[in-house]
Amino acid sequence: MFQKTLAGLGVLTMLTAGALLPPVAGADSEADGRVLMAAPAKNCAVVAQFDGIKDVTTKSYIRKITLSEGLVIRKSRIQDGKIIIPPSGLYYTTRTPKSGVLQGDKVLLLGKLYQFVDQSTKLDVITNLWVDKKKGVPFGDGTKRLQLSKLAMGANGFPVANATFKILKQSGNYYGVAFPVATSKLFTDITSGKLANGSGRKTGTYLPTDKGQDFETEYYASSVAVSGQTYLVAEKVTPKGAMVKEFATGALISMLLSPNDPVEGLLAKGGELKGGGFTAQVTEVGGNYATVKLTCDNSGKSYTKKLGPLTAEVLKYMPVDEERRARFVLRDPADRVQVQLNIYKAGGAFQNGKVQLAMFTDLVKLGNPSPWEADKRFIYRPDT
Amino acid sequence: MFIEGMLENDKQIVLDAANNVFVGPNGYFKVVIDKFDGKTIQAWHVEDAKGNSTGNLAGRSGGKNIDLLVNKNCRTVSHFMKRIALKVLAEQQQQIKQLTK
Repeated sequence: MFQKTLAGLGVLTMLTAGALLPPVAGADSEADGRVLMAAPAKNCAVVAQFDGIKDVTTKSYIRKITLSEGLVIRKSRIQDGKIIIPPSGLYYTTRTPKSGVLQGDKVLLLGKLYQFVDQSTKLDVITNLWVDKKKGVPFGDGTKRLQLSKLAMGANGFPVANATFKILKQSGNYYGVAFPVATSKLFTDITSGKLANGSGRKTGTYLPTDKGQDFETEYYASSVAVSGQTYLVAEKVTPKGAMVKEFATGALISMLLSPNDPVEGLLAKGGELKGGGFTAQVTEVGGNYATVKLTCDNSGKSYTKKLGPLTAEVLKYMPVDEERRARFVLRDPADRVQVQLNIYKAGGAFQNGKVQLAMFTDLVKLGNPSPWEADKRFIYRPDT
Repeated sequence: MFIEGMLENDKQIVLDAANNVFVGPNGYFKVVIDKFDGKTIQAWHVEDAKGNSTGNLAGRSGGKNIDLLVNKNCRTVSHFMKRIALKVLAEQQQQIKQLTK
């Protein structure tokens, strides 16, 4: 089952259980291997701050956020009189707090701020997979691993296995949350609902000899660990490893950025925005929707869409709900320009019979991974 | 939600005393090998596009690699830094002790 599952994922050749790094899907593999998921050496050079690698504080429609760049070299070595940095061994990194689309958040890339326009995501799932102690298994496109990083015996004072899984990312960092699970009969699995309403005890201090209070044989664990969209369900945790019944976590497919500030306007019917070789014209404004016609100035081709309706229901999971978010957005088929309801800008999208629109131009699409078009010696890759 | 992105070298980078500079994406920074005898890197540094330069970075690795972390404010970098922070602190205190002797 283990191999069958991995074969289904197209990563069977990568099955090295934590020893060798696999060739990377979506990028060329070299003889000496791409070093995704590796950390710098413990004796690496450390530069706390450097003028050329920046921190920039930006303000979006709803908040102030600080964006930070970084530079990392890993797995460099001396060989045959040369200094070698393997593929993916040197990376520039740009880090944000959780940036959202529609909200005016920005992304810092090589010292330049880009508007964060849109993104698409996927959910990678693996099922029924055995993971050995201190080993890991690749998932998704093979550029991340689910690691059984710790298998503690006796964490509670008696010999029972407690597993902690971590997600090892392309950068060599771990996903920010660990996933502790255990399945022994000596634990009460709280997924049974046992503690859903508390234990029934009242505030106070109890002794094990008190009637019904033998807490020294009362231990709790969970066979399920979660963090937002990410979840891990353990079938069995043993001293040698763990059987994962199901594990899922999200990843980016692509993102759209714009190097330009958006063209914005509060428009009545007939109003227009122009930019990037396109014209967006409002053809109808309703109470919670607007119809917009987007025309390419050169070809004359046009695309019309009703944006909205903007309701409390569709706003529940904004701006992360990709399907519903698309109702507020109009793009040309080649992803060159995006017009959207400017729902997070002060005043809201609809004001006195007018609609507030934002138009993002000269869009740049970055995949997972994709060549960095401005300098094709480099690959862009999200580490999410 | 976007949190982090990387620009990484697609092909292997090879440096030596003659071919001693690697220019980063869009010329944003340079990795410069200043002194290398084929076995040990005695001196190397990073420069930005304006010519600002780090000091010699060869010390911690003893010249055996050019692995690197830059900018403690970037969480990607700081996660790695935290793994070695106590070691670096002890090393620096030892260096201060040597300098003040």
